[in-house]
Amino acid sequence: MSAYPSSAWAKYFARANLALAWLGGVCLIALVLVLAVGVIMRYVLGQPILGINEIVQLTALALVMASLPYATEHQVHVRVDVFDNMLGRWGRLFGDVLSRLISGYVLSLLTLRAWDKAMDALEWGDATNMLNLPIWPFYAVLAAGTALCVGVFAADILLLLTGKAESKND
Amino acid sequence: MTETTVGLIGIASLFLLMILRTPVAFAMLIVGFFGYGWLEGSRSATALLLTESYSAVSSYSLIVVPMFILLGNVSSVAGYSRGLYDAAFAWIGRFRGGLASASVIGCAAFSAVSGSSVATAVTLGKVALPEMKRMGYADSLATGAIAAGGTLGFLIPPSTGFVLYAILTEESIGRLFMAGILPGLLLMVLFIGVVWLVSYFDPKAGPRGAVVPLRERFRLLIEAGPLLFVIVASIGGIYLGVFSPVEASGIGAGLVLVMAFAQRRLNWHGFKEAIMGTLQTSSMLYMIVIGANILNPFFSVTHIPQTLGAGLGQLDFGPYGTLTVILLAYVVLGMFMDGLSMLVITIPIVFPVITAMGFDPVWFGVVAVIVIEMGMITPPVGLNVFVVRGVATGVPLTTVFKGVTPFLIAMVVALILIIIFPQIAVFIPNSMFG
Repeated sequence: MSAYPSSAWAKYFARANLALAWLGGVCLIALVLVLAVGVIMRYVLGQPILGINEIVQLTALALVMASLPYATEHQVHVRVDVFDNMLGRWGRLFGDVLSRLISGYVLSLLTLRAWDKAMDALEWGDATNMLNLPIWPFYAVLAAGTALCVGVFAADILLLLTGKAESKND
Repeated sequence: MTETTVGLIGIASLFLLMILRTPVAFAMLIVGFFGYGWLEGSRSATALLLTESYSAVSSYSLIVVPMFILLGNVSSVAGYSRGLYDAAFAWIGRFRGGLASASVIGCAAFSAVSGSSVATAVTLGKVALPEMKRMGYADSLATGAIAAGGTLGFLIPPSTGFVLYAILTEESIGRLFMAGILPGLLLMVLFIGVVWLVSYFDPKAGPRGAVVPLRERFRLLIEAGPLLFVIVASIGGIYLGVFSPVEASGIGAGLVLVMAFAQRRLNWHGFKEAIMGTLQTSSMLYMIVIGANILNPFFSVTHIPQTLGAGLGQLDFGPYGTLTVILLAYVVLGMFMDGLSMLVITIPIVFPVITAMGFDPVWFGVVAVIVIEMGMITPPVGLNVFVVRGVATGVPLTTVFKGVTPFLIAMVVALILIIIFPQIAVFIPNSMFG
């Protein structure tokens, strides 16, 4: 379920987050399978899969970055809320907008760097050591995840400033 | 402006951002990025941003996080946690405060598949609190036992606290997991002792349950068998050196998924709930690691840990005096901050001081995790207390805080015992790994 109100743009945006989260879900199941197969091949059949760590590490990267926008949309990130009452309504609004602005700025820099790195890796054919897996798609997923996260922050700010979302005192 | 001054400004900014409701992970990311950029230049800072983020999310050791979270979530959704509680109750429910003791044992058993205190408190709280209410248990004892029992999730392996500690200090996750076993069991026994004492002095607070016939007891134990098997296979596999922690986590998650589907305990809705919950929690934890990975290089270039170490050395308190100061600071911080956040922010500063004084890093990991656990049930924040209060409708927050107080004393006792007898923490890892 989306954390946004049911306007058209919000619906499409939430769908993009959800679609990427499902990619994360596929990666999660793939991770379980790869680890289980790796253990069976190694301990039961005595034939370890060389380079399995590379598959596992890159799958984990895709899992995390693909689910980051969905998690951010649902505001699961841990924060200190002891001072919420003291801040008052306007203080909370100020804090919420400011934190999303700065976080969005830093993540947008990360997006640009990751995208540049993906393009470089594609151009130069960068690959992993053991299995020769191309690494550009993983930098691209990192860029996509952080870009959508920036989008989540932008949407939050818009909703907060237009009064469609409230800086809740939770 | 000296590097240390910039570091202090960074720490002040970190707390300011957190007060202004910035999620802890992003507060660390922001302060680390801008602080590092201030001292080393913006090109270095953006390079750091990418390399550290990439290395955090592709870290092999951290893969235990989504795997063990999935294991815990599937166990919860499939109802295996209920089986653990029922079996524990069948065996010890007839004793004074038996239902509360069974809840503590249920929490400890569930902690062996879940690395989260909150998840443990919520899962067992939903199962055990209505039962205790029905049996006429005092609200304070019922909620206190669950809130305190839930903290075992952070100590008994697989613990997210140990995973983060290992990543931050470059210690072995397997060693830390093993180090958590005996202190976790000690704490469980102490919690049961607290339940017994409370029920002894106030029999109405924890009445005895009915005697369950032996045949029924064994039936319930067998019913809890599948999850107990997963616990033995995954954690036992690490202990025997058969699996690495990452392999054990994958095997555990795979086994519980297969079992839950095979026994038709998991439908599409439950499966989706477990997957989405795992993704959300994993993202949250990984984001904290990314934030810590950006913040730590900033602290390193400011020389804050060295300055703090030198400052504490000048106080001439001696190693245990300094340790006490650090632990007291943890207790105070724990009143206001979430455990994971506290761990990632303080460990890079405190760890060099602790190791320089000659303390065992694995032992300190256990001590730090127990103090952080205490923060989860101390006012005014006490995350587990809020969580249990959310499950126990109609129970005032003050009652829950009153209920956890004796358990808090038990945690202090456990902490003192582990400080006096470090072997409680390091015996298993030392006998396994040398």
